[in-house]
Amino acid sequence: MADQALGLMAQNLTKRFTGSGSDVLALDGINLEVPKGGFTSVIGPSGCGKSTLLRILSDLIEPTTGQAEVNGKSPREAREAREFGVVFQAPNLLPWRTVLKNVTLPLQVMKVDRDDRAKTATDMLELVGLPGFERHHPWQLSGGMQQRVAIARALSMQPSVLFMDEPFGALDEITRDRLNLELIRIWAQTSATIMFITHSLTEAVFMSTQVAVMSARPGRITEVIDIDLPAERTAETRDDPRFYELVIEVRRALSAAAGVH
Amino acid sequence: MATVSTIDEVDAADDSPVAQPRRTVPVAVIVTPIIFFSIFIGAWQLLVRAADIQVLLLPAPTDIIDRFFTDFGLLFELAQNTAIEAFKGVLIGSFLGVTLAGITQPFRWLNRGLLSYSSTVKALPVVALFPLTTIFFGVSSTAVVAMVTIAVSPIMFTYASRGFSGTSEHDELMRSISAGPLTRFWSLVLPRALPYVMTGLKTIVPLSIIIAIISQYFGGSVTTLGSYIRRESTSLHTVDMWSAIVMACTLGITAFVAVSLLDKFLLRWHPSNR
Repeated sequence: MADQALGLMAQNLTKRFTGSGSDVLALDGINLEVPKGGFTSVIGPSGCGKSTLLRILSDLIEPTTGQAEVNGKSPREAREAREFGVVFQAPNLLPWRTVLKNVTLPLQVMKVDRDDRAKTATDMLELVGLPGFERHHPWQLSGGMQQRVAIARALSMQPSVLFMDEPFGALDEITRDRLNLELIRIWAQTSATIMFITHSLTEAVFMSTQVAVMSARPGRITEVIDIDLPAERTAETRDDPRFYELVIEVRRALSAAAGVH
Repeated sequence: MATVSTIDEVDAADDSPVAQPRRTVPVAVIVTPIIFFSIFIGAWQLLVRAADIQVLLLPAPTDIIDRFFTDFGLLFELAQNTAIEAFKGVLIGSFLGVTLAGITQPFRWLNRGLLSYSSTVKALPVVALFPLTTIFFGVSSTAVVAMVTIAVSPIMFTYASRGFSGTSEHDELMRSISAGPLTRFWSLVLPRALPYVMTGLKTIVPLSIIIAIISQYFGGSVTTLGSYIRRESTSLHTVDMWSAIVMACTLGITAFVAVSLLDKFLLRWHPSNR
């Protein structure tokens, strides 16, 4: 039976990519549980399969074996019920649409009334700190602003789960720090379950309630570390000694994972 | 003096989060061609006058321009008829090309097969087929339209196929929001193919006028640029022939400018236009 309190669940997930002459075991026996409303970061070296894990849970690809659940449903059912939003590595905005029309795209798919669409989208743009940019085109915005639009778009469906695949990976550290704070605020306001892929230690520790550490080839979760920082994270959290201890703990876990083979 | 930023500058900075450099057209792009063209026309004029070349053989530019303006009403009407025939061909050919590319897209083998045909057709001297189209459509305006259609539809098919076969990360976005096939088509597939379709259009529009005029040399309606040029050349009305050629060039340039403006308008968002 599916645990009703779980936002995300992976049980014995494996993913094997077989191509012409190549055979890669990308994921090997992944087990992961994210409680509803939890913020789980998945961290690991490049190519460890963390994006693959996210793509299986968000039903962009199928696992080779094992089981995945989102809100107690199969990823496909959850996707068709539009229970989750995905924020990709690149902002992935449609360049021929204005910012507003990009954010309303999911609502258009859901056949929401035109006026309600615009209203929700305006609210979402305000939530991500971009009020007044409705009529701009994506190319008129900086990378960080574009990624905010992508977050607003994912949130416009009011999903209970948010998948984020290294959304801030391409941004400079200053912008990233600011967006981390913004995301924490948004998370508090929406109380969504968040799965966040990153290769930044500080980013993972700062935002999450738990951090899953992965090893590469085959991708395995070697350790899950609970982040027992105060629930309310602010800029000062980064100065908390406990924050440093946790960063060091996650770094050790990463090194240990790298030394597995 | 201390520099004071004007209100305009502050406003502009607030409105554009990313600096957008204005595109400037280098002077050479405009001035150099004008200089060369003037030298060319001047030399032509001098040569004709100095060597006293017969007007039957080569009229002076001033004679041609003079005739162009006196006969402007007639020439304009001829150009209009030629443009209509070319435009009909472009319309039908684009519709056929784009629709066929869209329909065959899901069937790779079929699309690929047709692409090799369209490449071959592009290499053929299609105008040579004109006598054949007159067998089907008679020596009529329709035959010219058919000729243009035959020439442009494979080109449009090739460009549209390339546009429709494109993939991007947006496909995953559409999947993640469970978009239906109709939304996918109108919101993603079609706009993504549009730059290719517009490139195709920029290729076929000038071509359609060339094909139309050459076809009109062989027949079709008598009130077109092509048939006029041919008639006047056989009657040795060389100045009339030249003035019609000037009109044909004007038509070609106008058509190209029009389609370029349409491109700039429809693809405002495209990197090539900003």
